[in-house]
Amino acid sequence: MSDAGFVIAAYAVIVGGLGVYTLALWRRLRAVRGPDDEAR
Amino acid sequence: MTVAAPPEPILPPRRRPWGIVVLVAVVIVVIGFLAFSSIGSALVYYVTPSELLERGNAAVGETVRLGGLVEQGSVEQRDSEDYELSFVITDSEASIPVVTTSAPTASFREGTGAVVEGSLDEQGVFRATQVIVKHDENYEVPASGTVPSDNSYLPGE
Amino acid sequence: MKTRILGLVALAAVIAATAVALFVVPPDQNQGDAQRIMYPHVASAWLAYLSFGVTALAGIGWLWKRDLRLDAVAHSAAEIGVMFTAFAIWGGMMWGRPVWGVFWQWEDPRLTTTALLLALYVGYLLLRRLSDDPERRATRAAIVGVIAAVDIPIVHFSVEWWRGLHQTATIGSPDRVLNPAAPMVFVGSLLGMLGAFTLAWLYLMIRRYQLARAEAAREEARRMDRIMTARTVEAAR
Repeated sequence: MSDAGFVIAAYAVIVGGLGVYTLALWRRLRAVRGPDDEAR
Repeated sequence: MTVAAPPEPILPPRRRPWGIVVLVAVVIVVIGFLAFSSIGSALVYYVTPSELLERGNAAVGETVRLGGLVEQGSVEQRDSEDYELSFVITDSEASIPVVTTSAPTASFREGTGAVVEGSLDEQGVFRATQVIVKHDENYEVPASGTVPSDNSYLPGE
Repeated sequence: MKTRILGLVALAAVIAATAVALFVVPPDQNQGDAQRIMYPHVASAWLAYLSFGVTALAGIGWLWKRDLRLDAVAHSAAEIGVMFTAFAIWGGMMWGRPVWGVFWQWEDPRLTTTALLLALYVGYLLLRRLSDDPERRATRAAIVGVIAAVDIPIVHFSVEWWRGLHQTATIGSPDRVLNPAAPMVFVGSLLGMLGAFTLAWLYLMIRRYQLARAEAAREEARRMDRIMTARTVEAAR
């Protein structure tokens, strides 16, 4: 794998991971509070 | 009697008592012990050329990690058919010549830190099976007109 | 509403800092493009320190004030800290392979103590699942959280205390704060990434805390429900 490949793998997991965690958090919040909630 | 039978016990019984907590504590301690005992040996993650030479003949044939700086002007590369790289690892007091057929990464330079894994042979040459480049905490912008990997020692084009 | 604005600002900041680190800042003279991984790697590691520091302080706060909101803060920070620790390790591996030549070295003290940090706080989160009693759970977690925090300075100073593969700090070590060993474009890009990740951290902390409180409220409501039902049954007899 080239340098660029490692750079992409690193950023994809870290920045993408932040996004995935945020989405998961919204879902968990909605599951606990009910659907009519402003969790964003 | 209008009320239905109790659906659940009054309060959930206190399950999972101290036994489990102790278990978790033991697991954490074991993980900690393993990690720290490996740190104990990591105090010598690598030996310096002086330390290796001090051991004299006892060091010959023993698999170790040797760390130091790649001496300026010592790197020679042969990649006609079999790739072979030789250089000198120094700690400024002692130096050991290193020969390897394993290509380091493009960040390998003269003057950079390196850790080589392998063993010393009877001639006092270190036969390395792996070369790890130990870069330092200094960073620089490439000089104008140069490309970062211009002076790398990867095997031929 | 305000939290939502913070979330949007954090999102924009992370995108901007990533774009700068990937496309604006030049590569490093010796390491080439792989060095770009340094920015999210170091920022993640610092936020992991911050998270676990908050977990320890909030844990002490719980032991002292007996306020379950502090335990919710500790729990939230630990979960987010585990994520950032995993990011730091992942980024480090992706940086190590092209530059050092290896993904991982167990014998390196920085790497090993960081792996231990991850294990400790995963253990912290698992421990929390073992108890149904909020107060007992908070106390046990606080004790583990405070003890585990001992590893934070060990991780940070491991590169100075022991001989290893990982390089020492460029700007995070005491004598380097005002004299970083990198050009200002690199330092600026790192601080930008750190700022963006900190905004994201704040946002996630607020949301995670709200989740913890909502879960606690539901837990309490269920408990009360059961008590009331039981009393009604008793009274009817």
